[in-house]
Amino acid sequence: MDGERAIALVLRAGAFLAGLCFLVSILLEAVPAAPLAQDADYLRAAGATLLVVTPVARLLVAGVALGLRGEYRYSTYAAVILALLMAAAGLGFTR
Amino acid sequence: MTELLLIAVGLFAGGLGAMLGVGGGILLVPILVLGMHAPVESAVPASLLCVVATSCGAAANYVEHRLADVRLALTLEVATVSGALAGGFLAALVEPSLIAFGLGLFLLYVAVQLYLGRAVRDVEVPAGGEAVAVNVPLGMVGSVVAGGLSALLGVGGGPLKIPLMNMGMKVPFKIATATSNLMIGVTAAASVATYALRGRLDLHAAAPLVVGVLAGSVAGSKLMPRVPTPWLKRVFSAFVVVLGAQMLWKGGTALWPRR
Repeated sequence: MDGERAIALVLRAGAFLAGLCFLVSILLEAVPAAPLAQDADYLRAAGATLLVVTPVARLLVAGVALGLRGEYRYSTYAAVILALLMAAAGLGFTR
Repeated sequence: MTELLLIAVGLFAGGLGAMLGVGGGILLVPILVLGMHAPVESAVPASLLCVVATSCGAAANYVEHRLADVRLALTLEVATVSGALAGGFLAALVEPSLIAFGLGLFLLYVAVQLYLGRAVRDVEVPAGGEAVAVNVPLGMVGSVVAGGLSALLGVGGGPLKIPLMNMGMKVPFKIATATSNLMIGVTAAASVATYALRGRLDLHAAAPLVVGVLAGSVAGSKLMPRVPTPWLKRVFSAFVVVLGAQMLWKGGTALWPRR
């Protein structure tokens, strides 16, 4: 599998699973049985976590895939972006 | 009923956001705040989550079909995130209204140039999908500025970086929008994480929007290669005009506050 396909797979899987979590959470709440509301909350949290993690996973996969091709410059870029993003999120600067 | 309406709004925003590379936040926040009377403090994080969804849903197709340039995205992301961090530090030192006013004028100029199609390669999807960017140093400097402006003024990166790639780096317009789609997900995800850690992300309201946005972005990314580039550019120019007007308004109201 080439790098682009691997990146596409990560993005597609993340989007699909997150979408499924959110969709099932909506359907669960549409059922008029109160105990399912808690499950809907868990599913929404899982969906949001998946969505947030997916672009980060994409960066990791891109860095590894390009590194395996010997394109170390882009692997370094991916590592620097991850480090900067962690700093930015930690400092609360991003919007 | 509200869920269905939110899914429909998400479909529209996701589709258009995926085709134009702008994420959809510029559409969603006004729709949620003005149309559905959602408070701004919950509309902004929800729209950011939708930007991540648009990026993930659309970029999968774009990367697979080599429409998004992964190397260019990584190169510009380093500069953008650095600029965003610098902008965060500068926010306390500079007057954002003056910068907003200047950016508003600049965006209107960019919109006119894009609309008229001057100095820009109007290439449809190139064979093999690989487009060679020129003026990479200019792109890096421009991305630092775009990241800084995003942090200072809360504008999304897409409306700034697509003209930069297209006009400054001579990247074909569709490659620029697809690459922008890939890039916006990373920075928006970091922003969403920040809001979530502060407990300011209302997932209950965001759920139907995300479902709609994901479906819309997948559809938009399938449709975009078939849409003529001049049409995409005109719609994008309209977006840039709206953003420019918003910035002029933001700058103007801060410079001359009401008594």
